[in-house]
Amino acid sequence: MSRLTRREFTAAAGASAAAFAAPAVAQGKGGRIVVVGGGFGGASAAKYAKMFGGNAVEVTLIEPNKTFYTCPFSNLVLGGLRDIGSIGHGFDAMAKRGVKVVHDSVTGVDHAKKTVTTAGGATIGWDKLILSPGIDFQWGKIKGYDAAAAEKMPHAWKAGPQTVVLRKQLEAMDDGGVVVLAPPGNPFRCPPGPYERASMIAHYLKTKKPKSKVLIVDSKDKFSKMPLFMEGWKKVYGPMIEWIPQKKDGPVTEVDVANNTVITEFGAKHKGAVVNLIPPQKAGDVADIAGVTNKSGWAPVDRRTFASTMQKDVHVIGDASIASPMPKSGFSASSQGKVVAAAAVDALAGKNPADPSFANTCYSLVAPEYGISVAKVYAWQGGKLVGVKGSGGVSPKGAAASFRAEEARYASGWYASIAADIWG
Amino acid sequence: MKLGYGPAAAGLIAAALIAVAPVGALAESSGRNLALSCFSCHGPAGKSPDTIPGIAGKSKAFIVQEMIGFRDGKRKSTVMQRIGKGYSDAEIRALAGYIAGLK
Repeated sequence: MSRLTRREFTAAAGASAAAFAAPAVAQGKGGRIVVVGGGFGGASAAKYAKMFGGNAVEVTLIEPNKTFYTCPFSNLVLGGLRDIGSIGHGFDAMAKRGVKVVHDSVTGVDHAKKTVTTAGGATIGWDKLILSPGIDFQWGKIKGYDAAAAEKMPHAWKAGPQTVVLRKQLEAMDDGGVVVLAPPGNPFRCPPGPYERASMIAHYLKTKKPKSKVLIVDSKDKFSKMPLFMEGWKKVYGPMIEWIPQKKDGPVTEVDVANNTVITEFGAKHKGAVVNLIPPQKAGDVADIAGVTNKSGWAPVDRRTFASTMQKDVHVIGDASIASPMPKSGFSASSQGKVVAAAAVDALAGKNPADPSFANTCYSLVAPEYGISVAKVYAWQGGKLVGVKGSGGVSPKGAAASFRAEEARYASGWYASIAADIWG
Repeated sequence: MKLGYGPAAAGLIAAALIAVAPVGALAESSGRNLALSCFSCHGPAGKSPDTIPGIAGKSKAFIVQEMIGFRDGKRKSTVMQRIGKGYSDAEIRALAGYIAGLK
């Protein structure tokens, strides 16, 4: 297709104009799509479902918060490169497109009646339910670490108030202090995230408190983009960042909140002036409420359309889903949200959804002018979702400073673009 | 892509996205699914708000030439060489057709 015919344009423009008149009424081949969660996955799904479905599809987005703070780029807030306001996104543009935005929490899902109920007392009907609840924590997996402990030893793995708590602790810390960062074992949200965080904290310390250090007490032995991070750390921060793999001391199993100390399986104790403990994770609680999670704590899906394998007419996208080989990243979630929106709209129109195509590109900053990336293209081949052979991979090792600087520049470009694509 | 009148421009983009669905069945919807990933870096409908080059308003032939150049290593880049290797000639033509059709 290269251009629209007059007839197609007129029909589509009419549909688009009607999208601004809420509430949309289901007519012809359409229906009601309810999206739960306003993050990378859910907001993408809601926006694109409305764009693809026009006035034939009524789209409701349910998200508790009026502003969604992104985990991507929250490490830059910790490093002092950005303020928290710059990573917050509202839903006004979404509402203007004709998506009904409801700020409330889902407390129940009735699959027989096809409704969700909310804490605010609303009952909302759906023909297709798209769940994008992100993550929640497995409280209790680490002895002594609960929601109260997280106020003293922030996880900051859901961005927003927790990001601010950790940033304030870093600002209040005396020069010469140790920042203990304890990443979880796999799987977890944003595999390179803890290591970008170590980098951004080290950048702040190097600039403001140069006698301090970052100690990473890891619960695994290797991590995403590891050779690139190691190369960058050595080059930029020297001995300021120390990484302890789990094979040395065992995984972190306990915290002593009063003494700001993490304790490993083999009994090693690491006390920090600041402790950032990132606990083990599971699908967001809404996925449990909806009955779409299995024993792993995550949601199994048919990866062609991300339809739940446990409940009919329900899709689960983003971090909550078992999407391997795709990683749990904001880019993955958005990629899934858009393709699943198309699939849901097609299914409501009685059409068989096209095969999916997904991608992921994750930038990490080692320093403000030192960016690295990992990318992959995903395709539906032979009845399976696969990473396309030969595609993607990480930035080259030993690249010139100009290459790293260009990727850092593209990292900020990526953030501006994906934010506009989702919430704009 | 500059249309020159704000809210209506957004409407036209939406209209273009809606309109391609019924045209040409599987090939078109495949092109759409392939192209959706592009917008995460190149901006909504290919209009970039920041440092990454936009792709809105580019012709199908140009996008095909660039993507094949990236894929085959003739066109240097940071990440596009890695991404280009994820697509066949037919897929590149389909996604390029979709993006070019958005204008």
